[in-house]
Amino acid sequence: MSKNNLAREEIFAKVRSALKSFPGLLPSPLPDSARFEPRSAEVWDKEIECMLNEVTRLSGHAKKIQGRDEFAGALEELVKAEQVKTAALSDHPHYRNYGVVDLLQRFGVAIVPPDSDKRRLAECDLGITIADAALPETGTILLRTTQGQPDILSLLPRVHLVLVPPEALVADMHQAFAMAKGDRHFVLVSGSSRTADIEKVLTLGVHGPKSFHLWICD
Amino acid sequence: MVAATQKSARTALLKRAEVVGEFGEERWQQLRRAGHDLRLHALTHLDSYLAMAEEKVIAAGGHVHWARDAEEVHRIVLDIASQHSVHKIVKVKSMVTEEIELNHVLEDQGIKVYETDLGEFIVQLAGQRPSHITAPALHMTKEEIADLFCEKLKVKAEPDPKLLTEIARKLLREEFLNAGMGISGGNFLIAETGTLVLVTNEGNGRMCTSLPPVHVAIVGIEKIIPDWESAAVMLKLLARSVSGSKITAYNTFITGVREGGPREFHLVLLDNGRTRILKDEVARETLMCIRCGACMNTCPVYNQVGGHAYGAVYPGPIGSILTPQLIGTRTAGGLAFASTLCGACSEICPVMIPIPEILLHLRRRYIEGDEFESSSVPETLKVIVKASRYVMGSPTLYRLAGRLGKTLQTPLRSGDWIPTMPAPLDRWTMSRPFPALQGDFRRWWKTQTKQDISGEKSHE
Repeated sequence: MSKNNLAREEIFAKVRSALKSFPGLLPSPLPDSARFEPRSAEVWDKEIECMLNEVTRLSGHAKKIQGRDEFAGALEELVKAEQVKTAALSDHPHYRNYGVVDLLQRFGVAIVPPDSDKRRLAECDLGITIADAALPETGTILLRTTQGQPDILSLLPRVHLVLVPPEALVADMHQAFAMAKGDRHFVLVSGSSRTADIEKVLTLGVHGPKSFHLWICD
Repeated sequence: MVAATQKSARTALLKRAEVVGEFGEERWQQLRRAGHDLRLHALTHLDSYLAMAEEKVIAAGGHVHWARDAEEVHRIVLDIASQHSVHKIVKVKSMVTEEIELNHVLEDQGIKVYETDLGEFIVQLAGQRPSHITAPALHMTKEEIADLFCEKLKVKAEPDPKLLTEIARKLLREEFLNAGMGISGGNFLIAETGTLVLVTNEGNGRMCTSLPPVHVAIVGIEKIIPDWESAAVMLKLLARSVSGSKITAYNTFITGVREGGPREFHLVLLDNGRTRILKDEVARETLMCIRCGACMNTCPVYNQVGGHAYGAVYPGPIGSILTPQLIGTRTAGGLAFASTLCGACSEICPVMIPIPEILLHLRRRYIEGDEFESSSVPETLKVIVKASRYVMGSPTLYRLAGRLGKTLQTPLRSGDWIPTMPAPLDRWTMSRPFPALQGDFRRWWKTQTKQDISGEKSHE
C-alpha cells in the first residue's frame, strides 16, 4: 500500500504544481456559463406522445395501455409474438394490482424469480421491469438497481418489457438524476441493445435484449 | 479501406447534423459552451475534485488505486487478478487500456482477455489496433469481417452485419457468464458522489460491470467532472457527437459496491503524462476531450489516410495534439504537422477544444524544444526558420528575398526545375525536383488587375 501512497502523493504534487494550487483548497463554484437550462415539460398528452414516438424511433415497441383488460390482451399478444416460455419480473407493489404473475401463468409462461442465478436469467425469454423515471425527449427510462429489480433483469433476457407508470415521466435528465444520484447503481435505457460497428449498419440485439417493449400503463 | 472510412464517417456526420438541428443550433452552442466551461473548471481544480471522488468511492466500499504510468496499472491489475485466481477477463472498449497496452501484459501472464465491443472484438481477432476511437473496425468491410470470422472462429460466416453480430453475441455471452473479472474504462467520473459513468450501445458495458465478481475501472485523472448537473450536460453532448443519436442506448452509473453486483470494485486513477499536459496553459485544453471521435469524422486528412496512418493509439486531429504531449514531441511531434489547419475539428468539437491553435503551439514546441525535451531539429534549420519568420514578417524584406531568390537559384537551376537543393533543404528534393522560381507574382497581379478592369469596362 505504501507504493500506492507514494504514487498518490506524487500525482497530487504534480497536479498542484501544474495548477499552482495548494492542498486542501476547496473548488470554487462552477461558473454560470457551465450550467445548462433543462428542458421544460409540455402538456401531459404531448409528453406521453413524445415518449412513445421516441421509443418507436429507437426501433422499440411502445404503447399506452388503459385498464386491466387492455393490459391482459397486450400481454397475451406479446407472449405469442415473442414466443415467451419463461419470464422473470420485478417485484413492485404497483403492478401486483395487474396480476401479472397470474396472467403469465394463464398464458403458459413459467415464472423465474428476479433474484435468480445469472445463468437462469440469461435463459429467460422475457424480463419485466418497472421504470422509476421516464424521459420523453429521448425515449429513455431510468431503472434503479434493487434486490427486487436487479440490473441484469433488464439485460440478460431476450425480450425486455418495461412498464411505465405515468407519474414516472419527468422533463429532463436533470430531474431524474436528482432522484437517483444517491444510489449505488442505476441505468438509463433507451431502446434495445444496438451496434453500427459493421459498415455503420444498425443492428439490434448485440449483447443485451433483442427487442424492447415499453407500455405506459394507467 | 479509405472508401470504408469515408462512407462511415459521412454517415455519422449526417446523422449528427440532423440531431443537432433538432436540438436547435443556438441551444447546441450554449450546450457546447457549458461543456467547455465545466470541463475546464474541472481541470483547473483537478486536485480538489480528485480528492473528493476518492473519498466518496472509498465510502461506498470501493478501492482506489493511483498509477503514475502504464507499468503501475499493469502491476495493480495483475495483483488483483492473482488474488482472485482470474483466468478470463471480459473488457469494455476503453481507449486508456489501449494506451497502456494492457491486453498484452495480461495475456503474457496466461490470462485470456475478451474485447466485448463488437468493433473492438473484430479488431482484436484481426490482431490490429482500432482505426477510430468510437468505431474501431471502421476501416473494414463486411466481406473482410466475414472472412476473418471464418478463418479465426472456424464458423460459416456470411457478409451480413446482422448474422456476423449474432455470431459474436453467442460467443461472448458465454464469456460474460464465465469471466472472473470485468475491466472497463470510464467516460466520466462524477466527483460529487464518486460515480463512474459508462456509456455503451451494445450492453457490453453493463455485462462486464455486473456479471463478473470483480470490476476494475481504469480511468485517466482528466475524466473527472464536478457534479450531476455536469453529467447531464456531458451526456447530451457526447451521444449527439459520437454517432448522431440523442442518447446512447445504455448509460450506467456505478458508485462503489452494491448488493447483488460484483463483490469488489477497484478504481485505478492514471496519470501517464496527463499532469505534464496540465502544466502547459495553452495545450491544457487537450485534456478536456471526451473521446467522441467527431473530429475524426470531419477531418479531411483523416478521411484520406484513415486512422492507422497516425501510427498511434489516438488517431485524427485529437490524436495529433494528444500523442505528442503524452509520449513527447521528439518522438511524435511530427503528428502536429499532419494537418491542414482547416479548423473543421474545433468547429465540431463538443467541448470546443482549439485544436488548430494547439497544433501550432506544438509545432513551435517541436522546433524550439520545450520544458521536457530539447529540440530535435538541426541548428541550421532553426536559423532558417527564424530568418524566414523575420523575412516573411516584413513586406519589403519579403519582396527583396523573392528577387534575390531568383538570382541565387541560377547555379542550381536546370530548365524549369531545381533537381537538388543544398543541405538542409535537400530533403525537399529527395524524391522529386523543386520547381524553379519564375516570374513575379506582384507584377503579374498588377498587370492582370489592370487588364481585368479595362476588360470589364469594354463590356459595359
